[in-house]
Amino acid sequence: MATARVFKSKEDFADEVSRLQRSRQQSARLRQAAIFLAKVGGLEADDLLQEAITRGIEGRRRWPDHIDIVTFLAMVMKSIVNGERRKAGLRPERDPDDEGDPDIHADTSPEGLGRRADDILVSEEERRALIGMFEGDDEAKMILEGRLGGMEGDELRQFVGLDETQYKSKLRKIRRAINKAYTAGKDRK
Amino acid sequence: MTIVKKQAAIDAGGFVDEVLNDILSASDAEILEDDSELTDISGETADAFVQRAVRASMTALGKQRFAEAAAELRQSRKQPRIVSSPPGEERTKRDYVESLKAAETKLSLAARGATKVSKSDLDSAIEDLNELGGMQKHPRKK
Repeated sequence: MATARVFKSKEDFADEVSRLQRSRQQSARLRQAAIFLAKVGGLEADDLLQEAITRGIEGRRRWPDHIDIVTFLAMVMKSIVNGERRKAGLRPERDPDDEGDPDIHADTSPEGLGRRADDILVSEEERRALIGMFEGDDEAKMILEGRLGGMEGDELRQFVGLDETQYKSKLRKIRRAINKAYTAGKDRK
Repeated sequence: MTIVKKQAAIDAGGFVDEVLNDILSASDAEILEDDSELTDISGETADAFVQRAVRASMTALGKQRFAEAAAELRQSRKQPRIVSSPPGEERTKRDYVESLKAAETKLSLAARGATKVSKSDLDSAIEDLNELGGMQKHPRKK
């Protein structure tokens, strides 16, 4: 049986956002999500988080009742990156809409940005740069090459020969390296 | 609509989701340990980072509300309603001009840079402007 989606109000969102600053672990998760998405999206992390908060306060993105604030903001940031990547002219290698709708990638309306919120497009050059960060770490390189080449996590883990804990640990190492490089300003766009 | 040149790209959505899930599901201790590295590098705590984004968002929204109120004020100034006031309303007119000047000062401060104007300043300026709109429509009687 389908259930109606329930959303929290803009006021609830504003209240919760103002409380975020008092929770160190929530702030830490949010900053790491913002930095990682900014790196992948070629954006500034603080601008990205600010835009996500603005959209929530204005009610342009509604906060589902069952999702915590940090997850919600991460989703909004991801959606913003998705839109920005398309505005930048990136298109999927195999895009079924290419023939039918030539303007789809030029659509900068809020409706257009939400059309495919699940993918995050990176150029070949960006893919190479990401993988290039892990010279000397073959496992990390294989994980990135596999994940950016369309392999699923489990399939890739088995291919690389790691158990779940080892894979998670490697993923954490990749994330930490990307976020540290971005924060140090060595790897900004 | 902006027409942009298309460039072939790889979908990193699966990888991004995997990393985001890792960030969201990692233990508090792990996430704080990772974050302390970022604090060491940037010199800014995660709390301060989030606080800065929240403030910037509030200021941007305040500016937007302010711009709307200023536009309303400009519009109402094009249609002056206080042309000839009865003698008893001279003071009301003087109050109006003083309030107008104060609101305009706040407006120009805000235009020069958000960092120089607090949110409460912006709110109070918007309130002034709203009040002025009300005064023009219904000048206070003494």
